Parts: sequence; structure tokens; C-alpha cells
Amino acid sequence: MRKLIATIGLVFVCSASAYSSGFSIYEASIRANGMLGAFSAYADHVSTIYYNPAGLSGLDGIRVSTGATIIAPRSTFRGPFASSSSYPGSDQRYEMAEQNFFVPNFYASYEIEDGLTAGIGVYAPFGLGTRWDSNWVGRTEAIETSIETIFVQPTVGYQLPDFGIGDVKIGAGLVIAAYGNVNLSRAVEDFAVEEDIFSLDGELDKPGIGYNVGLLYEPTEMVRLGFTYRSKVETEFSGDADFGDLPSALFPSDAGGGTTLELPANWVAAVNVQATENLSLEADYVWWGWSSYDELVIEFDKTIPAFGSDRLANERGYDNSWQIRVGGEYTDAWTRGLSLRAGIAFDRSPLPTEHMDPTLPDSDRWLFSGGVSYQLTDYLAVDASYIFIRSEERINRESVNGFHGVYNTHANLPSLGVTMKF
Amino acid sequence: MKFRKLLTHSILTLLIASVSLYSCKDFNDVSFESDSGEADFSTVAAVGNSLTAGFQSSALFETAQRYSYPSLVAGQMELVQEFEQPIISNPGIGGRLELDGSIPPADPANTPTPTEEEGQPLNADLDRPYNNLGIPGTILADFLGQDLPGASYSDRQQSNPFFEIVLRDLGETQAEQLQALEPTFVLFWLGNNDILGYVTSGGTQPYLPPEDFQNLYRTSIQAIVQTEADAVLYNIPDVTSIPYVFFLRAQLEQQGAITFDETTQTYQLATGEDSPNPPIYIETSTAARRMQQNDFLLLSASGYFAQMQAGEVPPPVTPDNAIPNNLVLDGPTISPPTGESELARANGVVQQYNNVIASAASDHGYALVDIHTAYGQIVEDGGVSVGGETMRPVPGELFSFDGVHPSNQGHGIVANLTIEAINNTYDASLTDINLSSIPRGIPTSN
Repeated sequence: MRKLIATIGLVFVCSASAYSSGFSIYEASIRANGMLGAFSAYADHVSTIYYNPAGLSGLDGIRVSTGATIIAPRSTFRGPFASSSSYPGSDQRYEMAEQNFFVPNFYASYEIEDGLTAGIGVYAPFGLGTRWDSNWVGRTEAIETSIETIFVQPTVGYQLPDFGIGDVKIGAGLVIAAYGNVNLSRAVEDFAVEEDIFSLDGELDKPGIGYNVGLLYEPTEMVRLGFTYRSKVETEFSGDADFGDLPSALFPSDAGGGTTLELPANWVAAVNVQATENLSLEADYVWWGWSSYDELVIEFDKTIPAFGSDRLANERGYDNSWQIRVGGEYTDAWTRGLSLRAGIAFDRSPLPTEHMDPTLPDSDRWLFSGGVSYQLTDYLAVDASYIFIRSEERINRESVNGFHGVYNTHANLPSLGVTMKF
Repeated sequence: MKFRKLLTHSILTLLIASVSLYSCKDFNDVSFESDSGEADFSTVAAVGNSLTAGFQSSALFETAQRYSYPSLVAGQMELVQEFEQPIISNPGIGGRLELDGSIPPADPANTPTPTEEEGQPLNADLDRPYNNLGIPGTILADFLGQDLPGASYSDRQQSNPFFEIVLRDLGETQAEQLQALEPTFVLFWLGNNDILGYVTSGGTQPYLPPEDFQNLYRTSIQAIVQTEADAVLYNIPDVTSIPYVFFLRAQLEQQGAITFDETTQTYQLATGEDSPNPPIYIETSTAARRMQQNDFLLLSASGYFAQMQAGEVPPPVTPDNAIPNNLVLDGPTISPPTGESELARANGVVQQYNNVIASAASDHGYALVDIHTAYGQIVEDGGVSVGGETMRPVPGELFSFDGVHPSNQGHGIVANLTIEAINNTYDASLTDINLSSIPRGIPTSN
């Protein structure tokens, strides 16, 4: 029974993406994608609402940008190793189901008066999903895991009066988790029944609230420094648990369950250099406070006899992590109105090996991007970008769940959008 | 212009890098943990009966097959190829004994009952023999398809649906299919059913005479020798170490339905009244007599006791109403002392079988798994510690509900014994299985 509790406890591991730090998604703008999110000191685009709210104050008139990124991750598992002890070991290769995720974004801003601009952003900073065959070797670890979030962020940016030290801009936004959904399933083999899959489907109970603040400092026209902080956002999910054909005396068929997920804080320090009239280069250091995700607790609305409790706690033990993002933009390349972008980034996984499982085959990764914008008219530009992510092969012989093997992940992320200025 | 060129170059480089990274795909060399020593685990095959097939709780079904000891052992070998088994969807074939899912499993009222539902073979179209050639119900003579007096191989095949499920039309016998697999390593466990029929029928069915067993076993081993594979042989457990033999008497005693009287050294029916408890009579092959310390009530007698308690059959308190012979495995009597009994005969036969198996192993340098000693030790110890809890050798713990076949954890124990034998004989270094991480897989109805 102890094993049973452990297995179920792991079920509600909210996780999902295989393509970004933990389960964060930082592909929040097509233009920023082109520079791999090295954008927190860039400031010349309305998606600065996400990357650094201080950038808003420089934006005149009405600005609108919208687009979507397709995230197409591909993961494989080879194993399990013999040290997995209870899993029929082999070096067989299992492919995660091919899923493509549509991640939209929308930003708009309006200049209220000179130096003061308000805006709103809608984006999806956490999410994605993994799905394995329902009969695969790791079925008791994970079959399907998904999380979706949509955030809304009203924001203002303000340029401080000239103190004679260069431009100083500040900004702040209210970060609202407006929509969320978590879904997960896995098999429970403690009872031999036809349908031995446990699943939980939860919706966001009420909006989760956080904030972000930003600072931009331009000591000279050539150099811009950016700093931004996003607070953590607490999100509460609840929904129905489905225990399939598992014995109803132990797993009540009408149970509800929920959890609280603390979506981590992060901060970014960025420097942008206008190298020539056409070329700007940027480097960002991003810190993620993933250590807040140390434990996952599922609370049921009644006692589940199989667990002898209405509460299940599961250690996740995430570490804080970081990224380095470097990007560049070349404007008016070949012809006026054509901008080219490129970026490269390294992302340190917050997921410790001992807590790694197929719900989230996360590992350190390298990201490469290219992007292009073309100004069709004075009012309308088209943005496109492409990101390729290569995760480092992760050989796991340590995870506490005893499911050991080799994980490999790569992802392709094409994106397309428009930017308008009125 | 210079920068434009630079940028073009970098984008091109980036593209090339992306494509080459993409095409490098995954899986660099991964060094494996297990070492096969002198053995070659590239094609593993298992031959046997229901124990090898992963039969549990009177049925062959997917979730039990997944944890069959050959599958667990093969898993530790990190095979390059798949270890294929004739998987049957839940609730399997055979009439699985299941608990009622609406009552807590620990509730004593929740007794396993057979389901009427049946599963289906899931990978019957595999175009080669299964690696697990265990066929529930097979006797030693089935391996080579030999006829026995009164029971030709084809008759035996026709009366047992599992032959068709496992062998399909890819070869007449287990031995033929074993050859076709060209195994490099063989697990061979046959002989249990050659004595088990005698035991579970209370001595009313015949057993294979040990001299016939010796000839058959030697011929069978020749078939394995021909494959040039290395092998593991398993011997036969003591008949009293399976719950089918020892469990019911202990359970009835614990429930207070029967009691052992020290003065008369006999079992009595506990009436719960002031008058002395009446004796229990059992039928033996010679005559009815009082039940003594070495007499075992077979699990098949549980229906008889239920009927008796319901007043449907008269209590066995007189020689005329003695418990039928086929429900009892009688043992040597203490007064008057006699060595002759069904139990003594069964143990003697098992001992002779095991001598044959042991010499076959040493003659050919094969590994031997001494199930006889291991099971005896577990019964003596009262169980095995699994993740801090003691699991006893009883139905629902180390055994499945039928009282004969091991549970998932029971298979884990056989697998670990196999691993130990392989490591010792072939200088390999396979890793043990952690029993506590194996799911219980308790059959349950909706």
C-alpha cells in the first residue's frame, strides 16, 4: 500500500513542457523569439509588457502585436535500465506521442501622455504537455500530463524626468493567471483490473495574482540596461478524479481533487548595445526561482481509503535555475523594412535527477533561433521566427521512483505574427 | 554591408547547426549496468508450465504475465530484443479469482470468486515463437510431445486451450519452438504438474513414476543441449510449502472452526458447546480414520466446509461421514505410527525428481535454482520482508488466490533466486529486483 500511495502521489506532478526551463514557456512574442527572448533591454516592441514593463514608456501612439508559436516537442525514452528493478528492463526505445501545441500571444499599448504608456498583454507563460502510450513500459509513472495557463497583464510604463544621467524608465504590471487547466493520468497496477488508469482533470479555481516590475536605464544612446522581476503566482486547481475500474471501496468513484501550484518568480538582468546604426546586440541573464516547487500536494474532497488520507504530498525538490540568452537584430537588411534576428541560449534545468520521471523529461538545453520582420506598410509589419531546441541527453540512474533510462528531447518552434502601429 | 554579410553567415551557420543537431538524433552509446559474464543473454527463452507462464489466481492475464519470473529475469538482462509473451487481456483466460471491488480488500468477507468474463490474446499474430513458452497445465512429457499410457500428446493438447494460445501453429511442441527460437539462454522449469495432480487430488490421481521422470527429464535436457544455449533448471517445491495444502487447515483453526486436541493428538470439530468436541474423520485410500497432525485439508475442501457449516452435508464426526479422500492429503500417522501416507509418498517422489534435476544441472554445468529449499525456508521464517512489511506465503500475499501460483511478489522472489543462480554459475552480475517496487496486481472485479 505504501508503494501505491507513492505511485499515486507522483501522478499529480504538474509539469509538462520538455522545451523550457521546468514548465515555463518564454516564447511570448514572435519578435523576441527571433532573438531567443534576449529582449529585456530591447524595449522597442509592445511585447515588452512581458519582457520588461519599463519598455512601455517609449512606445507612442497605439501599438498592437499578436501571433502564435507552434511548439512541437519530440521526446524519447530508452530503457528501462536493469537498476530500475521492478520494470522489465530493456534498451527499447519509446517515443512520446507527437503533440503540437498552439501558444498564442497578444499585446496592445496606448500612449496616455508623453512618457506614460498603458498596455495589456495576454500570453501563456507556463504549460504544455507530455503523452506516452497507455501501454508503454512507464505507464505507472506517466501516461498523460498537461498544463495550460493563460495570463492577462495590465501594465503601465513611465519615463522618469531627466536627471541628467540618461533616460530612466520604470514600469509595473499586474500579472493575472486568468485561465488554467491541468490534466494527468497514469496506471495503478496494484489491482489487476481492466481499466487501471487514474486520471485527474482540474480547472483553475480563481484567478491567481502576481506582479512584474521593470527598470530600463540608458546611460548613452549606445547602451541600454534592463532589469525586470516577476513575482511568483499561486494558482489553485480543482476538478474530478477518475479511478477507472480500481476497487471503489478504496478509490471512491465521485472524488474530487485539487492542488496548488506555485508558478515561480524570476528576474532578468539585460544589456543591449547598439553596435551600429543597424545592428543591436543583447545579452540577458535570467534567474528562475524554481526551488519554490519543492513539494506537490493533492488535496481530495474526501478521504481516499487507498491512501488513508485526503491529502497526498509528493516531493519535487526543484532547484533554482538560470538561462543565458544572447540575440541580435539587424534592421533594414538588403532592403528597407526588413529586419533579421538570431539568437542562442542555454537553459539550465531545474529538475534534479532523483525526481526526474517521464511526466517531464527535462534537461539542460541549447536553443537556436532565427527571425525576420518585414514592414509591409507604415502601420503593419509581419513577424516570423523559428526556434530549434536541443536538450542534452539525460541518462538517469538515480531517480527515486526507480524508473531509470535515457531521455532525449528536441523541439521545433515555428511562429508567425503581426505588429501594428497607429 | 560588412554586418549584413556577417549576419547572413551567422544565420546560415545557425541553420546548418540546427539541421545537423536534428539529424544527430538521440542515443549515443549507453553503457549497461549488467554483465552477462560467461553467458549470452541475446535470446532468452523460458520453458515451463503455469508457473513460467505467469498464471495467477486461476487465470492467465496481462498484468500478471508482465511480472512473470521469466519476464522479470529477462528484464534484468537488458535484452537487445524483446522478451515476447502470449499476452492475454484482463481478466484473462481460466476464470480469474477476483475480490469484490466495492468491499475493502482487507475485509474478511471479501473472498475471491471466479469471474465469468474472459480476456483475449493480444499478440497472437507474432510471427515467431514466444520467448516465454510456458503453457499452463503442461507436464514434463509435453515438452517433447511424448505419449503417455492412457493420454496421448494430441489428447492432452486438445483438452487444454493454452497449447493453442502459446504454440499456435508455429511448431508442434515447446521443444520444437525452442529450437526455432535459437536461444542463447534457457530457463527450464517442468515437473511440478507430474506430482501436483496427485497432491491436489488427495492422492486420487496418479503421479509420474520417478524412474519415468528420470528418463523423460534426461531426454528433455538433451533437447536443450542441442540448442547449445546456457540454461537454468528449477527443482520442485515441497508439497506442504504451497498454500493449497497447508492453508485451509490453518485458517479453520484460526477461525475456531476446528481445533487440535493435545491429549488425543487429533483434530476436532469445534462446536462451541460445553460437551466435548467431536473428532474429525477423514477418508484415506485404506479406511476412514481420525484426522491427525500430519493430515492436510486441501484448499478444495473449503467448499465442503462451507456446505457443512450451512448444514448441507453432515459433519465428518463419524467414519461414515468422513471428509472425502480427494479433499485431504493424509500424512503419516503418529498412533499407530506409520510412514506410509499420501504426504510421505508425494514428498518421496519430489525428492527423487529433485535428485534427477540436480544431477542434470551438474552434468551439463547448468545453473540450478533450488526452489525446494527456498520455499521451505520462507515457510519456516513465516514470510519475506518486503519494504518493511512481512509478506507471508499465503494467498493474497506471496501466493495468488488459487493457493498454488505465486503472486507478483512471489514471482519476484523466484526471479531473484534465478538471478543469484545465474550470477554464481555464469559469473554474471545481474542486479537484484527490489520486491517492494513491484505492484501487487490484486485481481479485483468492478
